[in-house]
Amino acid sequence: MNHTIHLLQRQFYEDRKGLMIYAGVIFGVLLLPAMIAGYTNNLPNTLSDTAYAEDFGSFLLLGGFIITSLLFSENMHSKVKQHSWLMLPVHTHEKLISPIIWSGILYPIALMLYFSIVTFIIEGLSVLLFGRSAQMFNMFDLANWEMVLNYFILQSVFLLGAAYFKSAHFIKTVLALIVGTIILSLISLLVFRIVYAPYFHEMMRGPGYFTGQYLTINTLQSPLFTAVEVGAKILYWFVLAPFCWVVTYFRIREVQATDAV
Amino acid sequence: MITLDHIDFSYGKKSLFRDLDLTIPSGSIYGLLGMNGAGKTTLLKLISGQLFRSSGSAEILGYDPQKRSPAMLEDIFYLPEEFYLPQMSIDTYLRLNVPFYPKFDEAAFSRYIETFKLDLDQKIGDYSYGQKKKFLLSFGLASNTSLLILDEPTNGLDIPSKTQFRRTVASALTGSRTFIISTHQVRDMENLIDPIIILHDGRIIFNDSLESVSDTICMQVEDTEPMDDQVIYSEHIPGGYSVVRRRSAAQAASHINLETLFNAVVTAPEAFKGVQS
Repeated sequence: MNHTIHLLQRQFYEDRKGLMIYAGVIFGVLLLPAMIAGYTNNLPNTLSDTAYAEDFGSFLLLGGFIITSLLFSENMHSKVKQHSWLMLPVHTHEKLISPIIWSGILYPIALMLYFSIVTFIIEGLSVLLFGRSAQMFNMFDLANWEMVLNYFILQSVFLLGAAYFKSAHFIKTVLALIVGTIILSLISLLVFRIVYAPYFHEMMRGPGYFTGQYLTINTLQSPLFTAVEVGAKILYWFVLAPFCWVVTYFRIREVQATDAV
Repeated sequence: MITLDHIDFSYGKKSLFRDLDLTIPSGSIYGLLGMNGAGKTTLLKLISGQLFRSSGSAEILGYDPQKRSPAMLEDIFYLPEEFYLPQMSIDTYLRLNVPFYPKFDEAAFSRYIETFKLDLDQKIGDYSYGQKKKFLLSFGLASNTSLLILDEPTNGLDIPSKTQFRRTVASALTGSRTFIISTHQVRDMENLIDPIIILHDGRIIFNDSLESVSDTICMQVEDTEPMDDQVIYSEHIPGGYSVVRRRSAAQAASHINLETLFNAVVTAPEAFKGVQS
């Protein structure tokens, strides 16, 4: 555990400048619309009540995935820096756990706190300058925590991409996700077409196509479909992240065994 | 301390080591010599667990290097030929790295830094290549690891620093530590490295102390090309021939020139099989 804390300290030191710039960008992105809205509009609540929550979601997901994608680029995949990473006296699982904690847990919590502070400052300014304010970011809103939970699951995919790809980690992970989604969709389409063959008379058209009766999940309720839905949820919430972590672990081990060649 | 037994290793289909054996006990500064591409760095990486063998067995400080146990890694410091130092102060570097080396001696580190005349206020990323090397060497020596691996440590050092390097490294050696220095700069290492390991064509063709070598061979400079059957190796040098001969009981021990020894061993490895202890 001590080693994990020391690894997190190193990670913070490595990322600190980038994070400061990132914090500045967030502040600017939140401040500018609030000030413009306050200045140009006389009505109170010039920003929608969910504006900050929407911004939080964007920064959490996009920023978090980019940060995660770069986690191994400056050590495991860097020709000049990989030696000290390889010789670091820590277990392989500690090299995996520290990035999970860093971008999967500490980042969203820090972002929530930062959003709370920044929106408090911005709305305080708004009250002082324009005499009105919008709803601040509420870090205790369950919807935000649900988003964090989703981020935590999806972050594992980008962590795997960060370990698997040697360069352009983020772009390649996104491309892999797109390709994966297309393949999965085609397979699902094929299975769907075969299982529900009696409902179709053309490739994907049901009997009432021209009268507006489309094939929908509701019209095709069946135990099989419910099982598929439950299975997909189990896969997403309980299998996806552990699977990605295990593959990432073995990828780290592979790199260590081959001197990152 | 280090035992490699029947090690095979290859890069893809290109075999580098086949049936390689090596034993290195503690308490010496070993010199690892070999031509370009002989596999010196690969051997050091196999020892330090950065590369995995295809077959054979290895024991480093009581551990299998392939398991990459943190207990083994914290007892090894490896200064590579090419390295990176981040843009940070010495204090920050120590704060982030010392926790991984439990035997680190901060007082000794300060002494080494002073010996190498490194500026404490300068960011380590701004040091010159030679200064960076001296910084990492200071850290490695102060980490008190049982195994210190130095790959071409004198590359980039100025002349006074090379002297300082020899003096400092020699003074840091204890009975429980082993230093392995891989180098092409054998003149920089004279009076420091002993025993000598020579790696050639994927095999250890020589692994012996200089004392043992000087008991069995002698080196001298002669005016004319030697022709007698005691000659193991001779090379033309300015002013005559540098000759390596089997030493007779009546002959006095001679100074062993590492460069000539290396050339002799690589040129006539068979001749040295009989002279190694």
